[in-house]
Amino acid sequence: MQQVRPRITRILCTLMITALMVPMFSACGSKGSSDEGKTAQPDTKQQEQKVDEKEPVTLKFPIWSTITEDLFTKLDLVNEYKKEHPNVTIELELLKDTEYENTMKIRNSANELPDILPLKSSWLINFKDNILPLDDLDAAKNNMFAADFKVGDHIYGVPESQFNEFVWYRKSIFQEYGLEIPKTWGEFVSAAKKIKDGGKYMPFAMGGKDAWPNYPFNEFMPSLVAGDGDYWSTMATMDEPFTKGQAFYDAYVKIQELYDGKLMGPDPLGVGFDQSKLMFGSKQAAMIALGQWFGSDLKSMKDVDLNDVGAFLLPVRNSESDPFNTISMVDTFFTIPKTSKYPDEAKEFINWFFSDKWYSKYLTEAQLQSTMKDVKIDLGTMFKGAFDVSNLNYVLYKGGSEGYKKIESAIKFDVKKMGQDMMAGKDFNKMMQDMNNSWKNARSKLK
Amino acid sequence: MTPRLGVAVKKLAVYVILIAICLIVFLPLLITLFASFKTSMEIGSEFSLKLPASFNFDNYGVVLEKGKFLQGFGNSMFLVAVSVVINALIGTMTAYAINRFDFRLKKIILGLFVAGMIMPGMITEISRFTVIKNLGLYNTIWAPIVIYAAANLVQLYIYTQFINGIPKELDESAMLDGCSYFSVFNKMIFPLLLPATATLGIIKAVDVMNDMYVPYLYMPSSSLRTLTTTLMYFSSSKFGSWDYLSAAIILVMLPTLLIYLLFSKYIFKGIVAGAVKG
Amino acid sequence: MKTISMQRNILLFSFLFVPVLLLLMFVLYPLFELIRLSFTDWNGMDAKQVYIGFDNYIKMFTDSSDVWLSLRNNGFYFLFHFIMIPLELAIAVVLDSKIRASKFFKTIVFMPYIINGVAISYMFAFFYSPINGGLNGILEALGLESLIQNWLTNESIVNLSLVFVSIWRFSGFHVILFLAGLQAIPQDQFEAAKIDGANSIQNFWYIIVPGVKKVLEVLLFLNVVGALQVFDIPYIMTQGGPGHASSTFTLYTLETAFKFNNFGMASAMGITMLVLIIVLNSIQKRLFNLKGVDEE
Repeated sequence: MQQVRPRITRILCTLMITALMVPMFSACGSKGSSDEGKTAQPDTKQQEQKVDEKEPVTLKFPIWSTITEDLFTKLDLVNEYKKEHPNVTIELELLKDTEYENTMKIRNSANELPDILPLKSSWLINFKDNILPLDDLDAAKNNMFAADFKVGDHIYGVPESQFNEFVWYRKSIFQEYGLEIPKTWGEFVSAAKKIKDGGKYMPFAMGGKDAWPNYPFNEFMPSLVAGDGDYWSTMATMDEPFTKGQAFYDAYVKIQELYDGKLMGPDPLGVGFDQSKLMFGSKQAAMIALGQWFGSDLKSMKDVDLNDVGAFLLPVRNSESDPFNTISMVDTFFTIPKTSKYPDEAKEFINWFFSDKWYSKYLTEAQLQSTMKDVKIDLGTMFKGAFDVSNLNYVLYKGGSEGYKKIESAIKFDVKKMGQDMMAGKDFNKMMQDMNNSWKNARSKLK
Repeated sequence: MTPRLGVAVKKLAVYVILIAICLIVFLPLLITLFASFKTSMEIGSEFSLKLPASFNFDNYGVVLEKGKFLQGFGNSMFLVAVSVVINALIGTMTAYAINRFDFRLKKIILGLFVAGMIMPGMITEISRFTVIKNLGLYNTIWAPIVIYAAANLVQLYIYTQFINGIPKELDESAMLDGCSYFSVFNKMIFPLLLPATATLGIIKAVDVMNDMYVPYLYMPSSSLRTLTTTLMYFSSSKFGSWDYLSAAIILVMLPTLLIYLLFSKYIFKGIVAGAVKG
Repeated sequence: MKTISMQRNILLFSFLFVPVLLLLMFVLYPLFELIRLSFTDWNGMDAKQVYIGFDNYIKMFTDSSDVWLSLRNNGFYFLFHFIMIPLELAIAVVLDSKIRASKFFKTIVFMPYIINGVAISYMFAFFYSPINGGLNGILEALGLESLIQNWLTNESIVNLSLVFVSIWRFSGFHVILFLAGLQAIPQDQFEAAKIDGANSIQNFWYIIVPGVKKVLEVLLFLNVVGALQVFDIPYIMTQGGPGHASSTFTLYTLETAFKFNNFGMASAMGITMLVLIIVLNSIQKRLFNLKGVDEE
């Protein structure tokens, strides 16, 4: 007995250990060959796949918004694509919007970017070394904006949609106070003040807690005042752009007027975007400034009377004789990482996505404007009259040059945080002075 | 004041404090529970502690369906089960080797365990990602399992404390009876560690169930979503809304709460046994 | 004899192979990378990494005041959790005494610890919100309007609000650890003390405190590590705002790395944090041990 039992346990024990170690050993083996072996392996694999075109292919396609996912489901795009390309499977990966850029940077460091990589315009520069030029792609050639966002000499991304920025308002509240749609900044501020003095509604809903909802002001207004969509790059050529008379300063004086006037309720910084949305939806607030995309949000909210909601363009000009500058945003650039094993299939998918058949359906559902030359999207009634203003001038917003990016990261320039500081009541002049100093400092160091 | 009255007052004070603590624990939970039954309009316009107009499960319906909660639950359960088993094996084996033997590198190994605990997360994610990818585990359910198995200082600490409490003489007499080190571990140490294993298993289960970042980063495939990454789905900054998010929070909390309430007796016992030996 | 030592070696090898391999891959390698990157100007994307010596460290100490502001905020977490320790011990003593429903109270006290941390942060973001938020609503209902605050946006309050969430989440765990320590104290010590005529305060100092010394040591270590690594609560609830008012060291490091593409600098910050944890912990240990010697 005593002889037998230890043996059994010994066997059991070794079994257990080997069971535990086998995956580890094999894992270790694959790690050992990692650096050289790994890079070599995919290449041969890729060649095999090219020989036989019908080899099954999975294209990884990350997205950062649930709305995109819903649209893909609604139009059944993944299956529709499979019908025409039976060997290709599109695999959507829903990522968190606030984490998206970080995730892709981490994945990039391990050469594990997806096959199709949607990017925001300002990220194109960061990723330019890791994505393929798409100059020859049909979708890029027929795109009205792709060439505007070249990095160096090449088109790297095909933008999915174009949209404008609006001030959404409750028609009944405007009627109640006898307000017209404002045509200048002065009219805009006095309309808001009138609503505030009425004491019944908050003039403006602002989700300041989340920082980003102040973008229609803090991010876009310098460009609007300057009438220059690439104003960040212009600023990068100046030593002291935060001086009176410069567009940035003048725009921020205007914004400060809004925050100082308490036109966004007692504590805009304590309100998250979701709540600001609800405040507008439940008619506690008269206005909210957000992009065109907000239309689909509104529709998905229960109990909102859409007939009572209208939209106008934010007037930044001082008098009606000035040009009415308004931001035109181009968003979600489809790019293809260099590490993709199936660049041809990815290109094919992008062309397909931007083809008449699906693209117009997709954008109509999303309520966004087309970036393709021959496609027009019907936006419905909510935007009726919004574009009927004198001297309308579209300002195509850009994320800034490489020079700007360098200054931005050197001094951690963050206009949305500045917006929060302004809401918190920081000393405006000191803030501008400090900015001037650190800007100048950074520029001299980077030279 | 008679001593009896003094005792009564003291007792009353104790209960008042304890009940206050319960309130502090429950209030935020209650508000979230109520919100999960409200429409977004109700949440936006009413006092948060007001009972919902009706207990309708619409929000839960949306979350269950859109978030593929059942699939997430399945994945989470698989992760928990496998992680607990692997960690119990690795944990006991490491603790046994470290507690019962002296060898070169022991200090270094212990140092690495400590380093693993105090390493800054996030920034080292780039290195970790490279390792996982080169192991061929990226976007598989094994990525988090390997990560959870690595460098768990608290686990090692508790196990070694526990083994410390087992007299060495027991090992020695077993060896005199002809047992090998392996069978000492198998027949004696491992079974004696079971209470600690139960506790650590539960703690590990809670950890794994609640971890969001690792599954998010290492398993982006939608078929590999876990309970917590589902929660993320409803909390995106632009499109999330409180009605669904509250329902999702409650749903994510439920399984861990149930495990906890069912096993709380063992948890407390195990912690008592585990935390203080030595 | 020979077989025994061979057996020993086989056992050590087979038992430690997997954990050591994991340590090498997930601790040592990242640590080396972190150190290496802290001497480069890598932006996180480029293939090229230029070695720039100690520039990152120098710049961190001379050129970025927000780092120190963030570190100060970590101090809040450390301080308040530290202050909570005696309270937690007191609660544990109460729960350990024979009171009615102690099991129920124990269960409740420990509950926050097992709830999903991310869910907790979201929950409290809602709880603190100024519009129909829980806390301000409750204050109003109690007629305490004067106490209504902008909990997450007032620069002088925001850190306290966040620290409270951290305490809410972790204190129960500490209480249970203390409880475990208490229950391990042999009952006869108390009986002996009773015979000697010791009162409850003497009991506390001479039996309870030494009895939970081990737990205390663990807690102090966890507190240093936890306070310096605080990340998810401010990240989810305020993103470090308003401005950098509630940023923490880790949050700031992350921002430096990913938002401002300065991985080299962020790595230097990571190393600094490691060193800080080690230094603070050894100081604390020494203080604690000194105190222990004095008492004995």
